[in-house]
Amino acid sequence: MVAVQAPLISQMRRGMLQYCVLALLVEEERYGFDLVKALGEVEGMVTSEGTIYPLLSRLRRDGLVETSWQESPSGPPRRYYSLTAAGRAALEAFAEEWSRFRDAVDHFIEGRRA
Amino acid sequence: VSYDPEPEIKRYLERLSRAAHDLPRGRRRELLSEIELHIRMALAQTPCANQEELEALLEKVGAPAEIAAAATDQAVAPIQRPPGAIAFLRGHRPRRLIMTLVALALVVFAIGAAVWTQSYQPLAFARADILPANSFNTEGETGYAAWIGYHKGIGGGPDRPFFGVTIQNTGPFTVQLVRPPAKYAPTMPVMWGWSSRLLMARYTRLKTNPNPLLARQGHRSLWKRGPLQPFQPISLAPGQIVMIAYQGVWHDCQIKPHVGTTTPPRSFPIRFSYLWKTTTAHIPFPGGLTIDPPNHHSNTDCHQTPQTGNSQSNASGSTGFGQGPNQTVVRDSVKQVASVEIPKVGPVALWHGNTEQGGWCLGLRLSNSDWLGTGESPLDGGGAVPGCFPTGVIDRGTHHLEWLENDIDARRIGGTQWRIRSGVITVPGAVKVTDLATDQSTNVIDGGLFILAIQAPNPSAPPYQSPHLHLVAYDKAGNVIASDCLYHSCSGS
Repeated sequence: MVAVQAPLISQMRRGMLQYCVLALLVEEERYGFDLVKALGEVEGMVTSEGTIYPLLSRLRRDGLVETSWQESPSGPPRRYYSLTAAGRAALEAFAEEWSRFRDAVDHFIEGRRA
Repeated sequence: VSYDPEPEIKRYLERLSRAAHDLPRGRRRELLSEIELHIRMALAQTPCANQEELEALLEKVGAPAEIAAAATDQAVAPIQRPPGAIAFLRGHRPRRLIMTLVALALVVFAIGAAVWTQSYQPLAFARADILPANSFNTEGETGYAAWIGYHKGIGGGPDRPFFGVTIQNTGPFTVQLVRPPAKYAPTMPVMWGWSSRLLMARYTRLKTNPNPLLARQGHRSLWKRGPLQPFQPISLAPGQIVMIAYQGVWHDCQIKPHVGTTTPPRSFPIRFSYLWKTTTAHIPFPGGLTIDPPNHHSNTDCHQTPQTGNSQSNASGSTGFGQGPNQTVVRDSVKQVASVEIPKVGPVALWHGNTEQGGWCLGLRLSNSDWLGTGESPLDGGGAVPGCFPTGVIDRGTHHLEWLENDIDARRIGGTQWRIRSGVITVPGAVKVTDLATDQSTNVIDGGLFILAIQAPNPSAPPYQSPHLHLVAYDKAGNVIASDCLYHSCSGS
């Protein structure tokens, strides 16, 4: 079996990961640890939990998410992330593109297998 | 014993901090805070019982280098830094870039400041629509204050020419005026024929003209200067004015510039220091000078002026007198002959010597070895000696009483001003000399020398002013055997 190029997968994961984070925030706001755990439940999405935080920071600087500090029932205050209108629009645009792209890729890969 | 994870967490965060050192401070602090909070939440959810469990937890969080790389967007494709200085600067943290730029700016500023300081020359001639008192026949063109005049007072007897300028600090910073090298005076062509020394009038200013008639005619201000005193270094503040003059005696009658001649020098040397530099600025005269030669002025006709006089080099000679162009000191004849005690000042010694040409030399010396009349001492109020003179020239050979004046200003040490008259009586038999104007007397020494100290609270006012002088020499029998009077009421005596 030929190994898939690790850098390529890493870049794909990095490109997709930000939209996964945005998708997790569509229904509800979440705090960082919660987001990391949710992403970690899906195998292959997160290799290092700590790398999520720089991503969240960049999304905030890009205006795709916004944050607020809220008291925690246990422990220190938590920083909650929620989707902005720009973040929602970016996610919808990506979802449309991603659907076409995934179908196209599947078309070739599934077709080869068939 | 329960396991304490804190040391390991601390070490992990320190490694993360080091790995993220290229991040801006705010982002680095935020990242560390987020990661620490994440670790504590994970520990709260699943406490670690030992070192291995904590290491597994931290491994799950991620290697510090990996997290830092993600924060600097280098996780997948490390940035290939382009070569070159700018790229080097871009590749480093902004704080270093700022510090580098600040350092560069400081270096550029320092170089610029050094270049500017080297070229800084704020001194210029001040305008003087009205010439200083006692100077009347020469001024620089366009009203600038360069002047040659004839000064009464110090020296008495024949008037003494002086050549001076009015200097103003036109710059924004204070500079220090210092004494120019002695070589400048002899090399100034207008000083040919002069023996001179450098004087200054530091309290020079323009005053409102009290004469309403003159004020209406446009002369709204009067040029007032303080007394000419031996030059001393001073600080010249922005806008401040000072007069600087060479004063001396005309000893070479071969130099006879024509009236109206534009005569060198074309500049006046002023030496000043500012910050680390000391330089001589040659301030150009606008259009040169038009001078009226001294032999066109009755009081300074060459036939009436001394043939030799004091010079700047007088006090530097081993004899204390140096030598004039026509007089050479006989070294073995030089000795101290008398002294007078001046309160607060101490003894002032009279030195005398003969010249090979039959003339005489006089000098006045303070107890600290400073010669009066040379500017060496801060107590020096100026004067005519030390100097060497041919016999019979000072008084034109008619009075047999040849004398010169020096001033002492002891006010700065709690004393007063003094006028010292010293001289030679050229007829035999004198035992006593009296100044009838002030009724001060002194004994004659060595058959013909005298030194008379007169306390003069205001040397420029009667009866101390030279025109009020009336010196008389008596013999043992009380007969007048020599007399010199400048006072108008005794003229002819």
